[in-house]
Amino acid sequence: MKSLFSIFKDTYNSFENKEAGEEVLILIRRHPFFIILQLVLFMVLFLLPLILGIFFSPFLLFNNLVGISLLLYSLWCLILWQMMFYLITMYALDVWIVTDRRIIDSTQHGFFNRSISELHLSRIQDISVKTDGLIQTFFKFGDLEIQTAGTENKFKFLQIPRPNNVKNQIMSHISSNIHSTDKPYGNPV
Amino acid sequence: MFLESIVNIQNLFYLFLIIVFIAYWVLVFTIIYHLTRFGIGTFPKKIATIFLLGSVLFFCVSFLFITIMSLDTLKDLIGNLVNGIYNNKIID
Repeated sequence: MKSLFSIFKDTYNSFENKEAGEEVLILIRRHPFFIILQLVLFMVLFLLPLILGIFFSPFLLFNNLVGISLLLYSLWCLILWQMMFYLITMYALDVWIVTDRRIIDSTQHGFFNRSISELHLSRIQDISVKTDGLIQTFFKFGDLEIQTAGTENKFKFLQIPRPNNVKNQIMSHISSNIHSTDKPYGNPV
Repeated sequence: MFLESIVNIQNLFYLFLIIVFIAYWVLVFTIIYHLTRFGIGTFPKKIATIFLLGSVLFFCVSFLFITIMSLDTLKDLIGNLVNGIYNNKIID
């Protein structure tokens, strides 16, 4: 029984195509600000028919419509529950993984529709952080952009919490590897 | 004669409900499959558990209301509504 519940507490943060001995340093999701905002909207949608039902209760009781109202409300809740968890699923599966070897960007576009891109730490040239506006400053989230070698597009972490900390962690890991091996990080070209 | 005994409003209503509930459980399975199969860390597992428990609960409540709400009551309600609208139009 204890081992059954351990899946909710302990994790190796394993993912598809994880290499042997590869260690996950940071697992990042978008800041929960936007998903919480959407959940609040769903709460309003859950409660709105209930409030209307209480408001129109004399009419419903008089016309013997209480039963059908409750049935319709329960079906409404079923639909909202599905929609709400669809959004949460997309949020939970949209992740950036920083391992001791590479950075993986896994984006979920819908059911059975994902895109995964990865970047080896040896290709990182520059990391910049962008915090834009009052909300991002107040809730401490922003974008992190990684400039890679060559003319490739920037690798972007969008709306992540505490992007400065993430940047520092990546940079310190890269620099510690440079010092420990006394040569540029990664495989020699 | 045999076909008429099978194809009636009551059976069509139940068929509709069965299709809706099958679609519902397919969606539930798809969401749980995504969370447990592709989710990384403990967060998606917790979310999948909450979602499963809530889905079972909401399904039971809806099923309960459907069984309480008989088809005859539903027919009467629709009939009353239609008659009410029709009578109001005549009065106008």
